[in-house]
Amino acid sequence: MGRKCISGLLACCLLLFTLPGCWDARELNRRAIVSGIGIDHSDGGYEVSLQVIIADEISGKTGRGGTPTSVYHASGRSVVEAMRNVSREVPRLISTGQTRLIVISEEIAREGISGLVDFLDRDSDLRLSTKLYIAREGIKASDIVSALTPLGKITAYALVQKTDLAADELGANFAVEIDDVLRGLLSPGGGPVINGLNFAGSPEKAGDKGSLEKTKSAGVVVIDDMALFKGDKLVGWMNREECKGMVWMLNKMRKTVLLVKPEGDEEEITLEVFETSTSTKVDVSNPRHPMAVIKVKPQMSVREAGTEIDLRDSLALDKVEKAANVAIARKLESAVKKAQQMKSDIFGIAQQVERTNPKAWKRIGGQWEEIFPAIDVQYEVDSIIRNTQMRDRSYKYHFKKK
Amino acid sequence: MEKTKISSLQFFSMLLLFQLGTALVVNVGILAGRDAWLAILIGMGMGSLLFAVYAYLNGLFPDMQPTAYLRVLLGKYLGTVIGIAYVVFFLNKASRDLMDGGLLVIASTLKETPLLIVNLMMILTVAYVLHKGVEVLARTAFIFLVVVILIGIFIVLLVLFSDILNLNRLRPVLGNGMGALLLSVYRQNYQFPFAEVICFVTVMPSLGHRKGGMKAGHLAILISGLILSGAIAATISVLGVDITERSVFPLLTMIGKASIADFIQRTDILVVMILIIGVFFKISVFYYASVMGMSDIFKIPYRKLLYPMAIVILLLSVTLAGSFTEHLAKGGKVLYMIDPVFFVAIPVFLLLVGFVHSYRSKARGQGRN
Amino acid sequence: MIRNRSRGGSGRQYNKDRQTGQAGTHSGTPALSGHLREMLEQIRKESGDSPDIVIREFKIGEPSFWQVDAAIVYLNGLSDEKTINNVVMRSLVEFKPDRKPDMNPERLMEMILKDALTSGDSSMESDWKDMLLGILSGDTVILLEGCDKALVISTPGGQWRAVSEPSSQLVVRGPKDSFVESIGTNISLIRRRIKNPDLWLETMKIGSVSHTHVGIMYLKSVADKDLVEEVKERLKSIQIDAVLESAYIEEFIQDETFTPFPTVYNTERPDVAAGNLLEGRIILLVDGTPFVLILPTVFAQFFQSPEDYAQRYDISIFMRLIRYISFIILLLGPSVYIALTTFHYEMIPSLLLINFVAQREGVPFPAFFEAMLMEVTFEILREAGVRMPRAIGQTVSIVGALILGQAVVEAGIITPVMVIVVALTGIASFALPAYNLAIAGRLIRFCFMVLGGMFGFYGITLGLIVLVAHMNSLRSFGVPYLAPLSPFALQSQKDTIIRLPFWTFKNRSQNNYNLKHAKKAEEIKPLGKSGKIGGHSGNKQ
Repeated sequence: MGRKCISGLLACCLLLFTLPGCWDARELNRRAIVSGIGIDHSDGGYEVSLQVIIADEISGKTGRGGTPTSVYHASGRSVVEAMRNVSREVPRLISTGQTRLIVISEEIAREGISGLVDFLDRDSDLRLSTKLYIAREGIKASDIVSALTPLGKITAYALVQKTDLAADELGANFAVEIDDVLRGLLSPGGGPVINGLNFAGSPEKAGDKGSLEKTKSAGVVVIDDMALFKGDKLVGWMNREECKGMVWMLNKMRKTVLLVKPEGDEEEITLEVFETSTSTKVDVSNPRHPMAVIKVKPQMSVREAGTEIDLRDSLALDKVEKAANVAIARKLESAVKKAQQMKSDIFGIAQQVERTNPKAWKRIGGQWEEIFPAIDVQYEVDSIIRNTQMRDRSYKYHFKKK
Repeated sequence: MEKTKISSLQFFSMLLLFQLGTALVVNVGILAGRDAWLAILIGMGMGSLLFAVYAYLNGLFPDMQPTAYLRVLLGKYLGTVIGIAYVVFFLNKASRDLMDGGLLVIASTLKETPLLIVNLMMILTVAYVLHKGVEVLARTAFIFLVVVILIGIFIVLLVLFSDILNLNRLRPVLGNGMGALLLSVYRQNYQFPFAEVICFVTVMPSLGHRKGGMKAGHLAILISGLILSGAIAATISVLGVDITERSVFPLLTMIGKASIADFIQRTDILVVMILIIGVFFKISVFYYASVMGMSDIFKIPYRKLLYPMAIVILLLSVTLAGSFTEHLAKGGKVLYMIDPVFFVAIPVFLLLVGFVHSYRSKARGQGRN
Repeated sequence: MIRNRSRGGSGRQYNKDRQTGQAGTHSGTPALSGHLREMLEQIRKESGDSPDIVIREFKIGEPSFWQVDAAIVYLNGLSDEKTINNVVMRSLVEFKPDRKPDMNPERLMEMILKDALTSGDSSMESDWKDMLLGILSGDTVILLEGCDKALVISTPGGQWRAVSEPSSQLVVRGPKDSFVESIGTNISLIRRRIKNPDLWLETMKIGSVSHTHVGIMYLKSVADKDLVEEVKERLKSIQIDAVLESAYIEEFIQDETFTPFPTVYNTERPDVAAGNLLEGRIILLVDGTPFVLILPTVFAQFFQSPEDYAQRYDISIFMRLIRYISFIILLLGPSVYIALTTFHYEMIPSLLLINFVAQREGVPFPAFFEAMLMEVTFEILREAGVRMPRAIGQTVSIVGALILGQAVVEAGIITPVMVIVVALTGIASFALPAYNLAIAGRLIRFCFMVLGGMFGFYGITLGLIVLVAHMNSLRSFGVPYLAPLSPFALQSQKDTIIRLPFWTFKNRSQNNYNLKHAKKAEEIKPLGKSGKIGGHSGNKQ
């Protein structure tokens, strides 16, 4: 027993001895916590801008009245090299474990993002759920991470929230995370789609603390339409309608607004889609010319009706629904047309083919590049108006009576 | 050493944790692509068969260590040689698993800590628990099974609620045909982790209730197969087969994706905890198997061998392979070249000898009557 | 000493007597000489002529008829003088046998014992040492001229603390009495709760100097017979000079010494003792302490409170759950905080992390040292609060909790979160009903802090494995410490970790992990049928 006791004591001493050398222990005040990363083009490499949280300014007592975030830049031939070069500027260990946003300038995106995606994929500190964005032409990624935001304190987190909200309420965007991009890059004949970012106002003033002191902010980062990639290269931007169509195609639509003009009516009715599902069926009976059938089943409610329409009348509702079907199909079609025009199978129809008919896929997989633009796509939309909110007629209905 | 008794429930928990050990976290069956989950299920079936073989051998000599009945079945010299071979084999397995665990911990959280220190901590823990005896190990297994199940339920709920599953990514099933699937099974899945239960033959003599224990063993293999298969299926359906295939620790990456309302996030450390617990039991059982074998062959008391062997395993784990890649490559090769000899060939041969042996002894018994 | 010297003449004899006395005890032969004067002298000398030994000489019998010299000896303060005067002396004085005893003092003593004494507990003692011990335990001894035996009459008395509310194990609802320092009172407190002849009591004396009474109580039909034997065996093997607290005994009889976990449960509540007796456990009562020992003990017992049985079962399940959670917080609270902030910052929700970072700005210590500092400070405060006289204790808590805590934060030495964490672990430790387990938890907490500070969750996980394995290796009188969880026993689950309604368990002995004897409990005979108290049923017929 005595020997056991002594050996136990020795072990404890040994442990205490190693304590000062705790290899990985890093106090929080020795970390620079990065909330967002901007990647721009620089001569022969990348320029990395890190948005670092200045916690003191957000909730500490010792704040000096500065900005809640601070941006550090450095260049390097690869992203990692650039990140390490930043440490000449930052006194603390750069920690990307809480990074939520990565912005890539359009310039890089047009040249190809494969060079930096590997870093995002491999790094064990960065999460796969970090969201990716493209800064639209003329805007530097560093401007975006340098911007301040009136609501919320950290631009990167605010942008992520904006994305989620836009995806939920408007339906023209959806959150694109690192693994989504990776899967897009790997899908045969396809590519990822990535949200764009733009400025409302001036990029220079957005980073100025003074802009927060006005009710009308001089510059705010906003979520823009989505960029379409072919492989790892950006080939074009979609417009609002195409974006919605694409979100619908990908079955990521949660809620959206639809303006339709039923047959014989003059004014438009605003519908809100609150529940929808999309299914894609591929028919490869003729491998040279596959067919795709897109079935959409949206459920909606009437939010605005500036007409005299009587929504108690099922015939009238039918008319509205039909108009909605057409409108949705048009959106889908515009998205597909755009993708086919860019020859990028962003919808993963290739995978659908592989799933439904692996043998056929083996034969045609090689030529998917040529086949995809020629695919015949049919749209079957079956809208249902579930409710009309608090009123079943517009107040204008009374004018009609008279 | 006094006769220890392990209940069926404890045997079950030990086996289950052993199976889940490293297999849950590393890429099992990914040779079969997105059909990995199927490959694991087939592997589980074969593992179950092998377990029946091991159980039968134990049934012939219920209270004997395998190294002891090797000598009975094969004669003193051949039996001893094969016994030593098994001891070395188990030792190698223990140190490989130690390295697996150490490298994972380093890759995921302790990036700058030396491998030696990480492994030292682990082997000290293992040695302490084994010093208390295999019964304590078994009872500890039961408690940690409860812990692992709780963490598991939490993770399952987390993944379900964070809405990242897309089962479409598992299709097409059998897109590459049966051939690729069977190749994967042959190369990897029946052995890792299912046939590795061979080291439990050294635990079986301590079972309190043999028949119940064997049933529990089969059940444990079945459940572990289902869990592993479910885990890899979930991983593929979250990440897609391409990312999974390139991931060193796919489950870890997958859990990193899951988050609820930005509040519960990056729970991959929980997976690391499950892994540490699993690896602990895996090392423990291999370590126990080799120490028991050695103590039986060389007639040295079990406890005296414990700490020297710990040092051997520790040193082996640090020197066996230079890097994780080399480690995996060696593991892959060993898995289908050397392992089958120990997992399948020798046990099946023993099974045949055992048949003859039991027939003969039965005949002798009748002759006497 | 001075007195001895002044009576120098008898000094030599005293020494001689003492030697014979000692020899007598060693060889076990009686050493009562039979000469009254000699015996009285010896008593005086062996006790150093202590003034609290009262020796009263008198004569028995009628002066005209026959007379025998006699003496009565007792210890002033330990014996009940009222009883001695009213009962013993009166019966002796009134003892007038109608015929002259045939001058055999031994027969006379028997007559006194049988005919005269109205006092209850008395016996004849022929061993010198036992007689002396009797005097020292508060018995009254009657010696007769020419008789080599002594009449020992139990006259317990003296001052004891009265039965009062328990001071360390409080309940909102439930019995409010607690054990006291007198073993007799304690036994009566238990007997009052279980009126059954099955409740057996055995006593022995432990301590070569103190001769402390130790009582072993058990329900004969429920308790494991081998266990009772084992307990007695272990008690007999104790070699110590004095037993001043039941903890002395606890340390001698426990299975494992090198563990922070208590493997013997103690209580000062008679209802807890009675409940455990019903579960088939054995109770050790030690004279001079209100804390009785209960064994065998399992870990889950430390999370049970008598309150559980006074509240509805669903509420008590919840309360027990809270206690388990507090134990986990107590063990892991600071270490998880250290591991999270120094190793796994990515796990902390972003906004909370920003908060943490802001607090850490300007704090000079690493989280580990900060935690150590605060935990040690807390322990000092707690220790000071316990030892302080009650009036000052208040001041300590105010200085500690309010001034120190706030000042330390305001001075920027410690982060406020750390104060919250330390306060939480402190409160969690007080939520445990068993004080000794809380101490164990607080001790182990420091180990986890070191592990968490060095290796993050990796260290904590390994620490947990070692902890659980260690607890699994513990046994309390052969019963695994973590029973009935590990090894798992379904039939014992009704009242260990959770508490089901009372009607679900027919008898409590199932709760005790002692499978082979759990069945026997049904054989306890309800007293009503066997006669004594339930006699009214017979009267009606």
